[in-house]
Amino acid sequence: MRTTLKSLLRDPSAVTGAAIIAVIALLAVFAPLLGGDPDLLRPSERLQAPHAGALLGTDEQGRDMWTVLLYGARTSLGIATACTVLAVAAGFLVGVACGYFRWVDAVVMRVVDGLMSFPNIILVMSLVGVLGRGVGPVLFGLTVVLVPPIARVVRAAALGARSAPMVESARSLGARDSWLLFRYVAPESVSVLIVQATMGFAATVLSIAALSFLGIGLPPDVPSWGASLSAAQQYAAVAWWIGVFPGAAILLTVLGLILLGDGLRDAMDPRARRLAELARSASAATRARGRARARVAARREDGRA
Amino acid sequence: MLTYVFKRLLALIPTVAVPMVLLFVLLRLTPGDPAAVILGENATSTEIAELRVELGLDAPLWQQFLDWLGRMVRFDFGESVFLHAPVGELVLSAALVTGQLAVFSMLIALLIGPALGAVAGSTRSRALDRTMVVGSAVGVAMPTFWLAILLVMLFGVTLQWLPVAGYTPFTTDPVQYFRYMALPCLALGTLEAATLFRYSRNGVLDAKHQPFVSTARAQGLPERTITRRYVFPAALAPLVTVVGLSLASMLGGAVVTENVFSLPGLGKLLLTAVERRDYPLIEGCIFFIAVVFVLINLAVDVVAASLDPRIRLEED
Repeated sequence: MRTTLKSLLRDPSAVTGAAIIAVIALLAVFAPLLGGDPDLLRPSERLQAPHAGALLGTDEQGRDMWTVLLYGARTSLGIATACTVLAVAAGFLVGVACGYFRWVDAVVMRVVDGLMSFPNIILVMSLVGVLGRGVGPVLFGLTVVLVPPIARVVRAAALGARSAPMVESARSLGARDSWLLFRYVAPESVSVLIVQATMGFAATVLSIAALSFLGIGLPPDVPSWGASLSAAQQYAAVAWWIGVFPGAAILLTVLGLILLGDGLRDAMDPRARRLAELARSASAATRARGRARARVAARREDGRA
Repeated sequence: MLTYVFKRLLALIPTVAVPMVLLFVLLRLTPGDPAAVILGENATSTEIAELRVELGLDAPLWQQFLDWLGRMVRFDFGESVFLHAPVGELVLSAALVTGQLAVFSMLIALLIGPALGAVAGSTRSRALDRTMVVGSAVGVAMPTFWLAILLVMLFGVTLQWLPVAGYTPFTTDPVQYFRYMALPCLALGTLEAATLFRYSRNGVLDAKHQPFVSTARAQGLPERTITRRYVFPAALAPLVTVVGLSLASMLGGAVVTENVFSLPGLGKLLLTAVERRDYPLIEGCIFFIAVVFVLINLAVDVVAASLDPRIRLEED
């Protein structure tokens, strides 16, 4: 774990990603301190360009854009966190069950395959269409589409752990399934789980934005980046700021998560880590050779002098 | 090969069956009468009862399921509740628009992505490579509809070169058709190019270290020939799979893009169906999308297996 953290800290893009996410998360948490009242509608001050009173302008309902963005971050990150936590729990259980108990595998994996190959947003849309609008259906839909990829990677890790020599010897010593799962199989899948959860989180942020852009799912009075963008489309001719800032917020969040996810994957994959170390030691060797050559040259100069 | 195709086909059945059964079950388990939901608050009880019979909601659950299964197998989705037209016709005419959008976007992506990826993978300039990698990461993270809106703001509103939204069929007015399709295809295509860029760049980097490349180098072939004859073909062959799967997932990306530009495609139809809770139409859209998905996946598998016999053998 410590080596993972170390190689993560050495990866500039992963650090950038983590920093972006940390800042956005802090902004979301402290939104009430940093922004105004998100429910305050002032029709007289609608669609004002960025100025001293409202640095990012005001939206089509007269709300301060900066405040809307802060609370939009709360909505996005809040829902995405809930979905990811639920999906990780469900995906972990399903994956371990499939990877460890072979009889579950045949049936459940077919269902997982069926769900996984389908475009996320379409599945969530149709679920919302059947279940009706509101936070509940959206949460359910977004979680359902997150579970399959998580279950898949956990299953693969569990399959690997199951046939590992240490697990077999523990079993021959009389260890029970539950203990084996807890002691060997679960730790084996933690790293893939973290990477997959980060990527799933990014996908969920995008899906939430898309759903609220389309106007299905969340109630219209909840501040969200996607809803702001759909207003931006209506007022594209008069208010560029409604179109630019919420989109940038979505882009930054997703970009941060992807950079972090890529970094985590590289840091946790031992093969990639070894390659990176090799590259580093190679460059260290080159530097050492360079220094040696410089010393030799210097000595020669001395000799000549 | 035929056994392989058949096996893949069997494996792809869940992709159609799982979402459909999920919809069937959820619709029936959701509290509240679907017929009453569809008709809204002003409906009389006779109207609701009639719609219940029409949708087959009055039968016991097992009978509903068998009935439903029979209709799905015969591709019979009934009539849209709101548009009063056969679901099959609505879906097919919408799919035609989405298909054109997907194909044109993919052409744009293929024009930009792999070429830049090959450059980034084989260049000696670290700065150029880093710049392009960061650019592609932005492309991957960018929501399609944001790029779409930015394009509308630039080309539609500020410069006024292209229409903001709408659609004219090719047969009515080819010039207008391309003017309407330009921005949606550009939005989808550019972002897809970012994905293709990443795959082709990684492909080139991987291929560079393959033994056959070292052999070619040891034989004294010029670096240019090695890159052109050995590295690029090996790196770009896996793109077939990526392109196929991207084409399929564009159906997903197209949902939002179509709604930004009011293109009458599948995504717009599905949104209308979802907003009005037009269940037969939702079922029809999902079924069609799933079937197309399966067919594209199958085609991709078959092409990949014919390019690389190892894939075929692995299955057995």
